[in-house]
Amino acid sequence: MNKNSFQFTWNAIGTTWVIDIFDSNFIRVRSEEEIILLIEKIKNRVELFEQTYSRFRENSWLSQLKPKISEILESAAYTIPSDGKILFDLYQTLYTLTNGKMTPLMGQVLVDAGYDEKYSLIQKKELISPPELKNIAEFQDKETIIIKGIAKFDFGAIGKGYLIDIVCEILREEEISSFCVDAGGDMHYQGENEFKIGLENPIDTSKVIGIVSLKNKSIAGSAGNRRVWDISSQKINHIINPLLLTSDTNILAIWVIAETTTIADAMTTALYFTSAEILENHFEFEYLILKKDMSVEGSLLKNQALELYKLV
Amino acid sequence: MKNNNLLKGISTVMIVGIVIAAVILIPKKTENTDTGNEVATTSTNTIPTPTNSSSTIPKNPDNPEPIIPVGAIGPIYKDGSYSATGSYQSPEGTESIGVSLVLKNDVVITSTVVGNATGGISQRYQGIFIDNYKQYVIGKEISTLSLNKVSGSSLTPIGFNNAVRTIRAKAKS
Repeated sequence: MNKNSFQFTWNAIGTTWVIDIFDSNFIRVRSEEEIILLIEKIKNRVELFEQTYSRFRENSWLSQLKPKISEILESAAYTIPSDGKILFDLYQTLYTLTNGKMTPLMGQVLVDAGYDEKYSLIQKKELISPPELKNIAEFQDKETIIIKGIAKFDFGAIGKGYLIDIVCEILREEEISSFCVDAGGDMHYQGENEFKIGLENPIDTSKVIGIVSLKNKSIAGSAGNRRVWDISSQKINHIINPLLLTSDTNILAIWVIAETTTIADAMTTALYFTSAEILENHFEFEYLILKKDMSVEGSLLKNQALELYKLV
Repeated sequence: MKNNNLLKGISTVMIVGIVIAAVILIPKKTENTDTGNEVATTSTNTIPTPTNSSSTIPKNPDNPEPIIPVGAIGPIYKDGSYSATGSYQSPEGTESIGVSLVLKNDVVITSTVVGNATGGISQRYQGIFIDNYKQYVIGKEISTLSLNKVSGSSLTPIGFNNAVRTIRAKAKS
């Protein structure tokens, strides 16, 4: 970027975060202590989110959602943290729209398939479809969740996008007007210039299949070929259909552009499980699907800001 | 091989012609088409005429109907899903091919073609068409481009990459 931009990077939620601040006066108007405090504030906010919602942490709020287990199973009520309400709301909507294929209850399937906190990548046991959401959780006035059955929650499909939006808010509160918050390739850019983002070729990551320019928008991408491992006789990746207990190997990658990273991230998973038309009735976004045969489709094709490198 | 290429060429042209005809015929639901069934999920669509007389719309003095430039008053074709089946005559008899499209702002967002050929040669040529009509992309070296960022999965979870390395090392030993 330009000489005046400021960048800091660290690892959290299992990926690398890169925050670029493009305001030319950012460093000038702040003391070193103030800048350090801001960096710490952001890192702490990310860590807090992880402590609350990480499936990989036994003691996280999300991991501890259980019914009362004595002689019989009794419901237990939990207060949803203020930053969790949007997530539960979104998951409920997407659960309905995808007929249960996008579910917050994927935790056990992922662990059994080997995607556990140690990344053992060895299937532990036969995969079992997660229970229906209505049999596990009931929501009371958006504040309370009542857990009626045993199931592992996982917010992996939307959590990162939402966290990126939270970090963007912190920067805006600091009156920073131009920045990019990037967590492992999902990002939001706010600013005056056209931001050029290459769409990584999942098959050969030294290449991109095209470039999209965006401004004051988020982009999220999901590719099925990187986090791939073998179980039984099939290849599986981190996006598993809970009803079929398989991964779609026909889709190579999906990119989504939306106003918020929460929605962009959510759509990159939802599009594996339901049609864009159904989702477009509820959310505003543009998408691009790259198939195994290197063909592309999606509403992003009609956007002038997209330049694809095509086979003629 | 020469004969094969000629036949392939003719069949491809025929199939492309049918598909184009099917696409053109789809939105004009008021016309009677003998060639197949139309199933459209949106209501009847006719080319809209402007309600205000704009000076930017050129009028042909010989023709009372104004010529409407594409995009002047929005999409020509109504957004939605459309499908049609087109039939054609082949040396093996009457064959048909089905096309479904999703249109948004006059752009084809997704398309599916289903071959209904019964004759062996027609099946082959319909297959060739179906396999080849999509838009394909190739990769371009990142080092040759001027990008601000790359969006992709190369920054896969750090632990995951380490785990894969360990497993690969174990598998070799």
